[in-house]
Amino acid sequence: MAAPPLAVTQEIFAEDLAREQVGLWRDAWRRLRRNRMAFVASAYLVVLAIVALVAVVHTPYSYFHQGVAPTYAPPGSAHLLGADSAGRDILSRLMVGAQISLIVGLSTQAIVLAVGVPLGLLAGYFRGWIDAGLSLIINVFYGIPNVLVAMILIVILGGPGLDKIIFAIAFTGWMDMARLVRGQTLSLREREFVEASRASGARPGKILFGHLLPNELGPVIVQVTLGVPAAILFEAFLSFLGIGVPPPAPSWGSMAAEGINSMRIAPHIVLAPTIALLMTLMAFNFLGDGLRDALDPRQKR
Amino acid sequence: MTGTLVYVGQRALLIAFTALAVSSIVFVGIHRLPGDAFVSERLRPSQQAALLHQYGLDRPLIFQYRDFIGNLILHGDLGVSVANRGTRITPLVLREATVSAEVGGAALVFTIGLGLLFGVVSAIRQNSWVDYALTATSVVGFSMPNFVIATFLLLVFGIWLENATNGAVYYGIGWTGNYGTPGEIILPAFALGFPYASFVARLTRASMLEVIRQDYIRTARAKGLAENLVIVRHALRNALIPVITILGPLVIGIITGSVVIENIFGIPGLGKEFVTSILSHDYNIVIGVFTGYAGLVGLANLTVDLIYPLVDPRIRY
Amino acid sequence: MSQPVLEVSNLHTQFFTDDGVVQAVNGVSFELHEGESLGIVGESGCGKSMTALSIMGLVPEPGRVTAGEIRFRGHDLLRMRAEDVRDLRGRDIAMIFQDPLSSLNPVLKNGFQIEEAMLAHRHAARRETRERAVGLLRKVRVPAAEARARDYPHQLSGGMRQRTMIAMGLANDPAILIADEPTTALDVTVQAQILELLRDLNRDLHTAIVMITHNLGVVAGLCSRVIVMYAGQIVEQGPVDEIFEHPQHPYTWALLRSVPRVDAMRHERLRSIEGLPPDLIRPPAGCRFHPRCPFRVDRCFNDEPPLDRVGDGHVAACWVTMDRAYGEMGAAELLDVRPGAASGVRLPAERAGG
Repeated sequence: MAAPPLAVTQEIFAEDLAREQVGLWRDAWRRLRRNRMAFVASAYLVVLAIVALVAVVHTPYSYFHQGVAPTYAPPGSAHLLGADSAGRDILSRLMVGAQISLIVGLSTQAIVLAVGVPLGLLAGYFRGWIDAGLSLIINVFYGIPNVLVAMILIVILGGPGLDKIIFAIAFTGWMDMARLVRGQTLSLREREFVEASRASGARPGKILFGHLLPNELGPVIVQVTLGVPAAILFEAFLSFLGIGVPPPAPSWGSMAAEGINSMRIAPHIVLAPTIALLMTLMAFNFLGDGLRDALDPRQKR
Repeated sequence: MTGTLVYVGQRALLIAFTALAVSSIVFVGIHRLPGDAFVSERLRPSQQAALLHQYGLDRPLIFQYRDFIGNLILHGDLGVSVANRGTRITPLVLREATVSAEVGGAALVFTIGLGLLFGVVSAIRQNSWVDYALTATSVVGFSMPNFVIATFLLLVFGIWLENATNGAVYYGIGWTGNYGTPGEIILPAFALGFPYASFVARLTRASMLEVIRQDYIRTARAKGLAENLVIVRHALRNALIPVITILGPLVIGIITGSVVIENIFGIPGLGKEFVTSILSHDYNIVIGVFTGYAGLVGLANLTVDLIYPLVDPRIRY
Repeated sequence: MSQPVLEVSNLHTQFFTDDGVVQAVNGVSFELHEGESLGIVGESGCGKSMTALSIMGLVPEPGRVTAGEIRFRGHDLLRMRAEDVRDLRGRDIAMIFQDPLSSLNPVLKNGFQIEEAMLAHRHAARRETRERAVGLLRKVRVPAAEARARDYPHQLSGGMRQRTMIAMGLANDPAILIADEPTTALDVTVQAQILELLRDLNRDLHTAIVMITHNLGVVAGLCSRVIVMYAGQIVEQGPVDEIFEHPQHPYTWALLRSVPRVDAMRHERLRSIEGLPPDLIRPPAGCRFHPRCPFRVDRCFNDEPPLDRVGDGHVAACWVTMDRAYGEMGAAELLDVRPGAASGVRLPAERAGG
């Protein structure tokens, strides 16, 4: 009997690959579960998300009403984290601030995924002018600090605002994702299973999303997970400088900026959002690290 | 040698071109909003029109652009400030770029020095408590926004120190003269550099771990070399190679961070200027600062690329 | 006879891994005399490299020398302080490795790497070491030695790099030069040149050479005595001529047979050794070669054979020996080399039943 028909070959490859993948994912999951730091980090993030959700309907005090507490009040029983220079309750503001951070972090990365991944796949697989165009754009913006680009974008779009921030941050972020996916696609497209698919007549869409993408998910997941704290940090930066989410929205960044002015007499005002930021960013970073280790365990001896 | 000179020449041209391109993009993008610069001054319409005319801001965009580019290429002239009328932009940008480079350079020294040290120690004491402690510090350091570090530093050095010693020891936060004093540079440089030190540390650690497994390390030991020499002369030099590759993005990151740090510490660099001019709608300066940044980044990248062959002799231009 | 320059007695080196304890070197003993050239032959993983690394004190984690003595000119290296061993390393006992590209530091100049070997053991002016390094390169027949000394490893060919490594090894006039598969990564013609070089150096400098290889042809060309290792143990030892003409251990016999001959009949299949390399964590009981041996008898399954004298200066660890195999089992015309094929002892169960 002659060599089995290519369609069968493709099926076998796909099956083997699928089995290999399931094994990979199971292994990765097991490794992740063993990582204690990642576990603690995830727990913290879940709590944070719950707090943010709760804050939609209830906070101890209003987050923007001034004078609910004596100005500069230190942490106490009535106001767990004290009050700021305008007499607003810091804990309530912190809770609402969590919403802002999480919204910015998650939505920007969603956009980055939606835009960067397909573009990277297309550029890496089809090459040609799509790739040339994408590479040109990426290279132009590669050398420019993203803070500057974002700030100018926000100005062009008409000034501070949550939606503009999200757009600006996502705009500076999709290129990294596109570059990552493009690179992965470039190296994977030469592998046998792609050739087999192609030879058996699979349509490009199926190849891209059915074969290439599943294999690239690992680094993509890591990139997104580490992109969330980067986006949160970015937003905090912008708000800190006054070009972020406008008052009275209690972005942790702008809260920190306000707090610096009264650092001498009331350090708790700057410490609260600062520590919140620190813990949230650390949690995401530990989780991202854990994911990276789980998906690529070459680090072991 | 000629190869290198040609390379440098090519890169210099590329830098100039990129700076021009960036300038142009920003120019066009920003000039959608004519006259915003004068809005805050609450002028009467006729005064506003007169000013617009004086600055040529009422002409078609293409003419404005032609003049702008012409001035820039022929005279290196970035125009004058719109908010502070009479301030020439080019000297302003040059001076502030130098200040930013000073602080940024010091930050880079912190980043690389601390990063290499942590990374090497972590690697040779892999999986010991030292390793875990340093790695944990790295993650914390990298997660900390630099303004957080700056805040803590300000708290400690600016306030608590003074309080604790009843005013005997006092750290002045400010900037003297054009180029500051070393004391004034240290704190902002540290705040700026520390997050990236963590990056360098992790990369160095991973790289050292790889390098130590290499055959030539075994050869070095087989020659009877002392372990210190093996680590520093043989392992580290090779481990540095991947670290150099991230120097470019590292510099860009430091520049990004300087925008905030300069504002906190009141340092008269490009970052502070950028924020001030955006908030006061002085778009001429915004364009000028952007151009300055493009040039700075280009120069930094070029310097990194020139360092490369010094570390890895397999690279030649 | 004078005291041997190196005496290894009952050396045991083990690796403590998550899967178990790997017995990499299991009771190896041999002697090396001044100016002698000794070959150590065996397949990958048989412990020959690990023996050499044990002598040098370079056993990597998670391995350790767990028993035995290694006496260099009477001093036991295993009982010496680490700094003293390091003094010897590179000065009195030198070692060169298999892949010269990965064994040379890519960011340091060739000449400097040779100088380093000297500077590690004594103070000397750089001018002096530089001259000596160039001289060494000439001695190992590297043309344009001065220019090559200023180059980097990636600028040299494979043969040149290996010569550089040899120069590095000889920098301090060591008593012993251990060469771990130095020609495996090179072309055949270059191999021959390197071997010739080593032979001449051995003759002219009276440096003892320990040549570790899996290639019998290399041993034939260079060594006067040879040790055959299998599964971490020495199975045969003796003068080269003797071993080649009258191998006594079936493994040695199979090795010699497996070398493809140019004059073999086209239709003859390549003669490989049946079976898989042994598991060094749970090695076979009795003689470690018995699962693959065509001549095995009952005793081989349970009792480990000691190294017995089978000729002048010639020992082998086998209950049967090839003499008996030729005499009683028709080894000369043997075509089927599956385990137990010649002796009729296939599996213990089979025998018991039949």
